[in-house]
Amino acid sequence: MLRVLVVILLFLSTLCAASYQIRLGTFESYGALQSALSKLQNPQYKQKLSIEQDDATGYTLYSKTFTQHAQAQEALAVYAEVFEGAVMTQDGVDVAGKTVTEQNRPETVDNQEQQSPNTALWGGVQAKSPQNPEPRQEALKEHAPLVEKKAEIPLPKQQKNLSFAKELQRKVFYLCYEGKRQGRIKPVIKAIFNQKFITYSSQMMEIPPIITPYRLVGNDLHVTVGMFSVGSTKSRLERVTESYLRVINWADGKPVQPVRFYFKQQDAVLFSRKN
Amino acid sequence: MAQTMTEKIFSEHAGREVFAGEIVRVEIDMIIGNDITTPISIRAFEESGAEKLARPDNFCIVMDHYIPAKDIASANQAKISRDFAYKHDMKYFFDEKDMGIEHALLPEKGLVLPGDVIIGADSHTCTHGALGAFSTGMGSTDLSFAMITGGNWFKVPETIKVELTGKPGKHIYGKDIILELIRQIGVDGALYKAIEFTGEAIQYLGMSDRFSIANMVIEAGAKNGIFAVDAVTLAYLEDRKIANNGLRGEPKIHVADEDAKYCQVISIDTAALSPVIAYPFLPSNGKPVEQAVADDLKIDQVMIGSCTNGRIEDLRIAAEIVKGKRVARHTRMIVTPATQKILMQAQHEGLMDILIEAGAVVSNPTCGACLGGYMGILGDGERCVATTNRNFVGRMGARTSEIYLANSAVAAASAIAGKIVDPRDL
Repeated sequence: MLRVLVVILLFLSTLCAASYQIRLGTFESYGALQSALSKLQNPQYKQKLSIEQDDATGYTLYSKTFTQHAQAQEALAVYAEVFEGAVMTQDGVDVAGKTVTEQNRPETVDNQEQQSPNTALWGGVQAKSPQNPEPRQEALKEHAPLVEKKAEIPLPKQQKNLSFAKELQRKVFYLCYEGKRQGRIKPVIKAIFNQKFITYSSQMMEIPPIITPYRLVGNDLHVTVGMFSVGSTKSRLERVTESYLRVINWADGKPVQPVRFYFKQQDAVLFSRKN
Repeated sequence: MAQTMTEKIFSEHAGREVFAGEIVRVEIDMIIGNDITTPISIRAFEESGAEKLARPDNFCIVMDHYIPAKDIASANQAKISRDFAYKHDMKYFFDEKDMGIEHALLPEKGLVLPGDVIIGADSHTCTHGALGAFSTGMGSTDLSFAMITGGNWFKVPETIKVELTGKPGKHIYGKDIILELIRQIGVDGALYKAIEFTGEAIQYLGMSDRFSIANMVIEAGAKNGIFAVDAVTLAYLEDRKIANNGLRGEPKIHVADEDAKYCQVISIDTAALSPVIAYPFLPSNGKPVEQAVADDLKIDQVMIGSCTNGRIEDLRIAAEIVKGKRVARHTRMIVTPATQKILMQAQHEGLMDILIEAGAVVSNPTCGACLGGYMGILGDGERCVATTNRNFVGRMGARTSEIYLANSAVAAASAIAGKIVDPRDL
């Protein structure tokens, strides 16, 4: 019986119109942010800034939104003179720091996905190119089920004092499954955890992001799926590293591939390429 | 040599004339902690080996952020402050029995006096400058230093003089004046500076307006905001004296010298102001209400409350506007009186009936909604008009929600209309 690892159905196709912002920095206190900002002399670049407040990370300062990469690059150069850690983001995902130019700009998921007419989805679900769209169910049948025998996925020893709730305060993760590559590439999916919902998305999407409810039961993450043959998934935090959370998963009660919840997109992309 | 008000307060505390730029160590008249910042101070206090507060009657803890506890974590956090307060038999410990938002509660209790040096582990401690005190926010470990020693170190700030001219028109309040000032100078425009408010318009501003103004000087980076004591201040203090059977001590009134040195002078004609709306995501994104009306901004929630605008005057303004009307079908209205006494006063005046009949929900006094803690969290994409002081991304809930800062009249009128409207048009 066909089963999928976790349901993230993202038909990746054309690149949406990009928006760029410069993330100037994150500060423990509002006062520290104000101090840093006062060093920025150019009033033009002080316009339309925004501050994001997050209990876990503190105060993050963002530039206004740019629609042109060149404009954003120019702004990045100005901001980087004051804010050493300034980073350009594209649609909310880090793209480049101050020393990166268009020429040496690292390849992002966008680039990778653009190269592939058929993009494998997390869990081996594969979407056809937008020129040849096919129904989801057909796409699913073409690929091997991802549920593996219990013996092949020994449950690793869990670290002590792990808290999914605490770790989810990071809110944004880049997900990539462990194990054998199921398609031409191993996709990276962005997951944003809000209070009750997860929003799964990709840099390239033909359809709107998928939003699905979740809840924490004890220390387990329960996601109601309600599509394909999987009714729900359960995930458990198994390990926390400097760059990712290792999460073990069950679909309809049966173990499936572990998934890494990377904190930075670059790390997730690197992992997907190497594996 | 001529001095500003802030320099005079520090001189009086230091026992010598001091001026901007000097480093001084002075005794603190009131140290303020709350349920989320004090536990860190308590840990530092205990780790230092200190056993007693240096000046027990100059330290208070106000339980206001997550009280009553919103979850187990906040309950356990509150327990740390409670245990400390009972262990040290603190005179000024305000818990659920007598609760309120610290920056409204302390003046109400007569614990803030003109001429005081006040610190608090909360950025909006600057509110108390409305009473002619030097009052500023500090970190929790700075607070613990004062708990242990009774004093702290300060660099005397330079002062920006803000002259308020004209007479504010209908539905122009202190909130509009401070939002206009922040719009002009930006969120870093007064970094580590005192802001001294002067000018003919002050006479038209009640204490509620002054508290709102002083409350938000931190949003421009100021160290403190300060008003000279006048008849309005003295009348307020007299009320507090009667209500509390005395004040904490004797007020010390300082007046800036005419030729005091200011690093900047800014003038605001209050008669020319429209209600100011600070658009997301900075308090400095102020626009006249006419712009917001033209933008046709539909709203999901209105929040009237907080240390900025949760006073009885705010509830009176809101009640007057919503009386006999209903909050729009798709809009919610939350009213958070800043203290229990304000809530009771509102009840006594019949304001609660008016607000509730209009469709508002009234919460206990708390900072909860303002900081995105509880009692009014915004969901994805929701838009809120709030009388609070910060409109950062995610401040009141979801990252995709939006907060428009406004005065209480704009907020109440907008709740009825379901979109941002000009209360002067009602």
